[in-house]
Amino acid sequence: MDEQTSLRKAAFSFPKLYNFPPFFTRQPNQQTYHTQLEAWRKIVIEYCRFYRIWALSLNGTALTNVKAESSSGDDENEESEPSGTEGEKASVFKNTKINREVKGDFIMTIYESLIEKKEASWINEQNQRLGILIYWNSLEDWATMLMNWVVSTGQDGNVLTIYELQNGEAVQDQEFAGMATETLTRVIFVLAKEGRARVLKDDDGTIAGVKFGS
Amino acid sequence: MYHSKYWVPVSLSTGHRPIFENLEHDIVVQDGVGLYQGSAKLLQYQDGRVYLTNKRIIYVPEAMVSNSHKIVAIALRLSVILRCIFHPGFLTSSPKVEIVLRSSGVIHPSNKFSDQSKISDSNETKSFTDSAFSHLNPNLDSELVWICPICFLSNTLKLDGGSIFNIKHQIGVPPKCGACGVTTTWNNLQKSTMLAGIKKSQAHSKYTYDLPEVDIVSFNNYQCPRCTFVNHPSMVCCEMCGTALPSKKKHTQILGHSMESHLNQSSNGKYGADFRLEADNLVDDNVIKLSFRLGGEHNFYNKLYQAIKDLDWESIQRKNGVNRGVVTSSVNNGINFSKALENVGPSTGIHGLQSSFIKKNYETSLILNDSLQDLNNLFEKGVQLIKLGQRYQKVLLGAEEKSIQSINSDLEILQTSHSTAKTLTSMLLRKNKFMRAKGQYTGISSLQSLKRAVDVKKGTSTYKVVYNLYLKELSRHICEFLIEEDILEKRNGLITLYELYALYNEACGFDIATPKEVLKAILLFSKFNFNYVITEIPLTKKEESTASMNIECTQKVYIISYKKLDSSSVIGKILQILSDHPGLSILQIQQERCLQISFIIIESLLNEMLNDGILVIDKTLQGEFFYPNKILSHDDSDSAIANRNFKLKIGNKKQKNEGTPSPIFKAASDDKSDGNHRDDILKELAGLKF
Repeated sequence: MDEQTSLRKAAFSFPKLYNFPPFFTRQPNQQTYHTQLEAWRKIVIEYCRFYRIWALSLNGTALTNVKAESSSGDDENEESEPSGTEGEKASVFKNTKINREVKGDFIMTIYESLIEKKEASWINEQNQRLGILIYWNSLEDWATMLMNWVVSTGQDGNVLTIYELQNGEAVQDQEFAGMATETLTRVIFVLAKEGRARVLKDDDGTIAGVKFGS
Repeated sequence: MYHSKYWVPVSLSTGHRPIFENLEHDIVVQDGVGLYQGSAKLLQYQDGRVYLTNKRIIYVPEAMVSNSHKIVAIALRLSVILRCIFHPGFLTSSPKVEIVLRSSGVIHPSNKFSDQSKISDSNETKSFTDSAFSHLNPNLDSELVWICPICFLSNTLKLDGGSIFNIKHQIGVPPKCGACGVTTTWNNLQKSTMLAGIKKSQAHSKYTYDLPEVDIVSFNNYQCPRCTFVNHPSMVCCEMCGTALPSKKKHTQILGHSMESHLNQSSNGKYGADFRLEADNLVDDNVIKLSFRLGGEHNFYNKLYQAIKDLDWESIQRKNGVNRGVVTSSVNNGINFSKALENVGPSTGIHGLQSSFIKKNYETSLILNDSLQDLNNLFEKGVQLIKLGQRYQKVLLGAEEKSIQSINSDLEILQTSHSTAKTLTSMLLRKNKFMRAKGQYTGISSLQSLKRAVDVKKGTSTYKVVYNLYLKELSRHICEFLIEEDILEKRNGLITLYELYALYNEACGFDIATPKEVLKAILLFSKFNFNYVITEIPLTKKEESTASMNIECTQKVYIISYKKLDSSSVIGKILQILSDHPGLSILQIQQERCLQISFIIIESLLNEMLNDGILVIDKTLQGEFFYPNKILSHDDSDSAIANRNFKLKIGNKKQKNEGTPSPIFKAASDDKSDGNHRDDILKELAGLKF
């Protein structure tokens, strides 16, 4: 496992622009600014795809413990705090080589442009500090991928738990393996909306399992 | 075609203002004036400006601005004017000033010198009656000097040719003392006018009868003409009342006279001018009319009348020094200059006293300086002469000693001559500076009077006309100022309006123009076809939020430059510098050798370039650094390729997924990916050397 990770994580190769100091400052010229924003969007997506990061904090570090109260809408989630304090973690928005980093408000603009392109969404719309989910494949793509797997493995009509979909033996070699719960629920809701899956809920409202097939 | 022998073509400065002669200064400027010869219109001279100076009337046609070759500016010497008559406007005809000329008073190029004397002679005879009259009736004098009964300061009151009763009628309130501010009484003024009249006539009679003698009983002219205090001969002004003493006057008169005659000799070689007329039958050779279509006729007439009077008076003074006992405002050039200063600043209260003291000190120091320097030079020359004599003696005595010693002495002589030459040039320079400063002051006297007129007329219907004239004159003067001072050459061809304004006001004294007026005047440059252009550069700040950017756009900076030079060349230079050394701050750019431009200009230029997307900015805690825009160009080439690469990668992955599931994408739990991340960091750390 370690060998594999080391092989895979040689390092993410940033584009040349990443070493250009003004790239980290918001440019006043509109055209330049749009190009800049676009470049940042791509970097974020590819960075997350490369390291299989499902969610980012507000300063650009990877969130490992994605939790949200999206359904109940409770105010503060204490568990997100520790991940926020890990400031030392490598951020995609920080280039230690040239000693530059993107400022918070510009990060927010980048996030907003990602959300606008449906490549990301807030973990909790009411509490944006919890972080952002990055969809390096679109939710629809994920849904198709998930459905394809269900069909190809002959589990159509079966009930699968969320944990099985994330960490089950059968999904270990799939691309969606290890998907953050928040992302996975959204993918399942997409399927449910299309009528290809049904969500089974516990008494307390959390998702207990998914029944695939119509 | 009609040929007039009175009008003389004159040359103009680049600012389309007449070039004044030495000791000449302008008094009034009026635009919208048409010219008549007799009763016939001069066709090409129907819309123009008239400059009244203390020597000439100069007419500059407005059409000169557009086609400068065909029509020339013309001038009329005040000395050829016999009298002037004022005609008020009637129905559609504009008010006119009729000028009657002396038929004999024209200088012909053939017998210039003989005619010159003739002119002054005729001046003399003609104006003698006038001046004599003015002695007996002092009310006609230009200004009245009265002494404050409280502080004994001698104040001057402008009479402008009218009597004291006229003034009383006009103002109603007696004038205040300049120093203590106590209002005087009409009685007091009356007394002083009578006194002045007596003094003048006395002086007049005295000098016509016993001019050469020095009257020891009255201490000649060391006695103050106003308060009768006998001053020490070295005093310039009276110790008691501060009146200027007439002791130095003879000197200046002689100086002025010689200069004057020199000027007359060297002035225009060509006499007369040709005109096209409306109708030939109405021509009267000796009558010229000025038609004032935009008002200002009263002022012009009064000033012209005064100027003619002054000129007559001057010529009498020059002739036989009639006026030696009478106090005039000019004691020497330096004091004249300080008089100009006096007009600029306030002259009331303690401040007035203080400034008058400073002025006095300044004048005396000037005189002392000059005399000391002259003495020094004389002494030096004497020493030199003695040395030279000694050496010559030696040479005569023994020619055999002419060895190394003589070479040494030669060298010494050379050195001393060098040093004298140096002192001479420095003296010359000083004098030049002084003359120029004086020129600046006299050059703007009309501007100042115009400005005062503007201030007075505020709110009335004629305000706009006067204000426009003022702006035009200001514009011309600024243009001349730019050329004379070589301002743009010194500043790499660019100057901000702020700097120019500061320089201009510094050179011309305080309060000559407000920034707004200067801006308006400079905006007129394009109308006058001057070689300067003003560009407006928005002072936009590069801000993160778009909202604040919109607000910042309202600030602008104005830059004055040559017409041919545009800011794009400077932009090109900056871009060149930045592509050679990317990542420079504004200060670093400013320090580049080829760019000596002010900080504000560079900053605004850079901001403009930023907004145009030519540059990109890097903001750090250390400051702001500028780079050529690689972000946009990257998008065109590199990142486009990168894009394709990304897409390829995705494609590959998808293929892999569809095929056999690759072991690389093994599901990793949250904890594991966290671990991976830590590995990553550790690896990065391992790469660093401690």
